[in-house]
Amino acid sequence: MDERQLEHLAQRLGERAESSLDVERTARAVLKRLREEPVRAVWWRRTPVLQSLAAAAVVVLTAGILVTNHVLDGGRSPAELFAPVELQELSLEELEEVYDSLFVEAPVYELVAVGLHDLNENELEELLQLMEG
Amino acid sequence: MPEVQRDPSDADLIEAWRGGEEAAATELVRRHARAVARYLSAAGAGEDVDDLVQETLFRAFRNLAGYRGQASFRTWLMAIGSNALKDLRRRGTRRPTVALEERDVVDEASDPHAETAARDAVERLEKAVAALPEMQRDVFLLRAQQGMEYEDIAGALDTSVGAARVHYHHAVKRLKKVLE
Repeated sequence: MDERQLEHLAQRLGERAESSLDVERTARAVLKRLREEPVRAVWWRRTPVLQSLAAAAVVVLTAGILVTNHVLDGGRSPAELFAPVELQELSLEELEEVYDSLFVEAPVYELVAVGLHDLNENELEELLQLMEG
Repeated sequence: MPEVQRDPSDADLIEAWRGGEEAAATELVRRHARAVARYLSAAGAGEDVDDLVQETLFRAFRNLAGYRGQASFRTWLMAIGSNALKDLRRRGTRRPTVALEERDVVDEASDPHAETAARDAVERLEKAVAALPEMQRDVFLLRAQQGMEYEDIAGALDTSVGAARVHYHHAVKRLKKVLE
């Protein structure tokens, strides 16, 4: 059976359910439920100002928890507060943001283009060993 | 020259519903309810199809604020339907059954032997689709049964186009294996 035949067969699935559905009855039932259970907006979602305040509170609380953990953990480096796997998933900018959020000065990273000609004999050997696994 | 009346788009109707027009909701149900029923039935909703269609549409109108056009309205409905089906299964109040109702669907003009074989294939496909992992099942049905584009599917299922293609590929591979 090829893919086209499979798709053709798949188009037949559920045809009976489709044709037997009473659409008008469904529409009436849906509208009845919507009238009986109208959407009630959560009060703090109504005002953008309150939304902003709520978001700010979450940020402050999160930062507070991180700093408290840092202090309670006997001053472990901020990087240790996170799982290694998570750290590896962060980009350079994201890592800097994490450092910034913990009030630690972010180290300055320099991008250096290194070519094979820049390596000495030992470094070349190491590289070859790495490539060979 | 008389002005040509065009049918309102889904977006027009959604806007009208948000403005309080109930008739707009009724029209949206008329447009999409049957397709949702077909999709849910193929996904293994069994005898709960009608209730699930109603639940899907109810949830959609209740959560219309969350719809930002990331996929077509219909695809978005299918995604909600899939979640409703998942919730039903999780609650376990009613055991979803694999409907064997496709017997009447097969082309009766064909010869009896081919007809029986086709019926058998549809039944087996239905069981196999219901047994697929959720994401593979949803992507397969949206693509093969509903004819939707990968971009639309990815938007509705909150995944990437590449991932949707991979899910589809795996689903087809599994289904072919079952049917051969």
